[in-house]
Amino acid sequence: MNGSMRAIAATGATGLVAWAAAGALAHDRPPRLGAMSAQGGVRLLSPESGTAVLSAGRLLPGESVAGTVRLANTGDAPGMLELDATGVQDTPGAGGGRMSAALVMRVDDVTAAPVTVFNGPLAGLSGARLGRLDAGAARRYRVVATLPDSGPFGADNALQGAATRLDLSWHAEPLPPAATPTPSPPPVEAPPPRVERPAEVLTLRIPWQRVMLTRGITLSGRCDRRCRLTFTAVLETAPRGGGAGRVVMRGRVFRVAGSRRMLRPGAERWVRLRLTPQAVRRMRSVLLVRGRVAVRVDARVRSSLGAATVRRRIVIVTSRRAARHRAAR
Amino acid sequence: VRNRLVRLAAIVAAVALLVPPARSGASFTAQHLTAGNSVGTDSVRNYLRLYSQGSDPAGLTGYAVKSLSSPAVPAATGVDGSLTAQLGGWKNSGTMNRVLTLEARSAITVTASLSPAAGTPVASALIADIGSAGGATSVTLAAGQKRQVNLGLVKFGGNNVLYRPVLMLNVTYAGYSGDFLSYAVPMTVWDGNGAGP
Repeated sequence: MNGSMRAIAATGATGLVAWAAAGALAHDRPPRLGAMSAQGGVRLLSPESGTAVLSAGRLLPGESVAGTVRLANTGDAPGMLELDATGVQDTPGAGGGRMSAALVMRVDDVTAAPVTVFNGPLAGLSGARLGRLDAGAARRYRVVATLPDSGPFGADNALQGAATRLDLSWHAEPLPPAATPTPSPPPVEAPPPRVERPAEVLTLRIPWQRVMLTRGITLSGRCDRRCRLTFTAVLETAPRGGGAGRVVMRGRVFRVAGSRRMLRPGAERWVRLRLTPQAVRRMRSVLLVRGRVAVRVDARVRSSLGAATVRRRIVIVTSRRAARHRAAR
Repeated sequence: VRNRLVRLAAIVAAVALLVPPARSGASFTAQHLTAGNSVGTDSVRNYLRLYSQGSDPAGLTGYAVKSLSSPAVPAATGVDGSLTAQLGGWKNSGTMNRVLTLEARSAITVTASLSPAAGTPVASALIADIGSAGGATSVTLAAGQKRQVNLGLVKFGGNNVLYRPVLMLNVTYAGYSGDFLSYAVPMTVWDGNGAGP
């Protein structure tokens, strides 16, 4: 072989190597997701499409609907799996409530022992990272939609008859094969899960009542778990129009006896908070001058989740003013 | 040999030029859509229907009339969640029988209450058999059974005040005891002269 032949051969070999090198990237097919099965927890909807996993038409507060979907990566490259809720369409309830604003979504990887990979409001289900899905691997996810119970006295009634429709978009971005060699089970990289704060444990309600006549405030409390309540209060002026009031008495508004209560989980308990004589006198003097006085009640709640303060402010008006106010409403 | 090598090099060059290398997989996103999921809440209408004289499908008459109205008009209008009741002028105590009727669509317990419980001329709300006075605050009904709501009114101040109490009708059934399935029927009652607004 002479020099020119070597040059030609070298050119051809270089071309082959370059082409092969470029083609090597192309050979790695992107991850392809195949929905291998989909079944509804309540029932299978839309059998003609077989894709909807959530279907419930008569949820009540506190109830959930769940479905599972199995996803397989039929490509040659590993992918990072993400989930979006898209195409959300609300049918408002009789009271105008929007289901999409109330729903809490949870996604569990149930391929093996269940691992929660997302837990939060429906609005937060955007780009939720579910973890790595290797080439040829399959995972099974359970999607749970819960309508939380906001509390008694018809707190959720605006949602009666409400409905929402949504699509779940599962998508995977290819990952370099060598980047993470054996990452299973999937890393949990969901948005921060919804942490139940102590303030959400307590449902506190102060109904309309005659405060000056009874020299006390009756309220109802309900804790989702065992909790200890400590009530304190501040007396304020109550300017019309909702402006900030001026504190007229701080501390010793309630008698100590009865201002601390223990609540059993789930049981609603009525609490009677008796006003001190000093508080009654102060309220009466403010009422005489202004016709209105506010009581800011702070309920310090302690439970296994920690401590927090729930605040309620009630405005007390003279009975004649109250009658006028009700009539105006 | 030389010719063969030249041909081979030409072929390689041609292939390399004509077949562009495919792009890296990094630019692709695989997607699967789980479409058409739907979640809805229950409605009290699935368990209980409310009728006024104008909406009663059975054509029942004899519904309570708005007090002191001239010409006389039924106190309640509308159906189900849109039903409202204008009770008219009430300076003295009295009763209004069959302000509205209710019909169970399944086996349920219906409980009537007033909000606020006191402080308005409407003192009681009772559920009774059709055509009967009195009644009870809570009744258990089988599917298809009908009842009427009777209201009791008490004398108030007579100070030309329009009160706006709300009649709450709460539905429970075996296995469910919450208060989500409830109707809130707005009412007005005029404590003054005439039928009021």
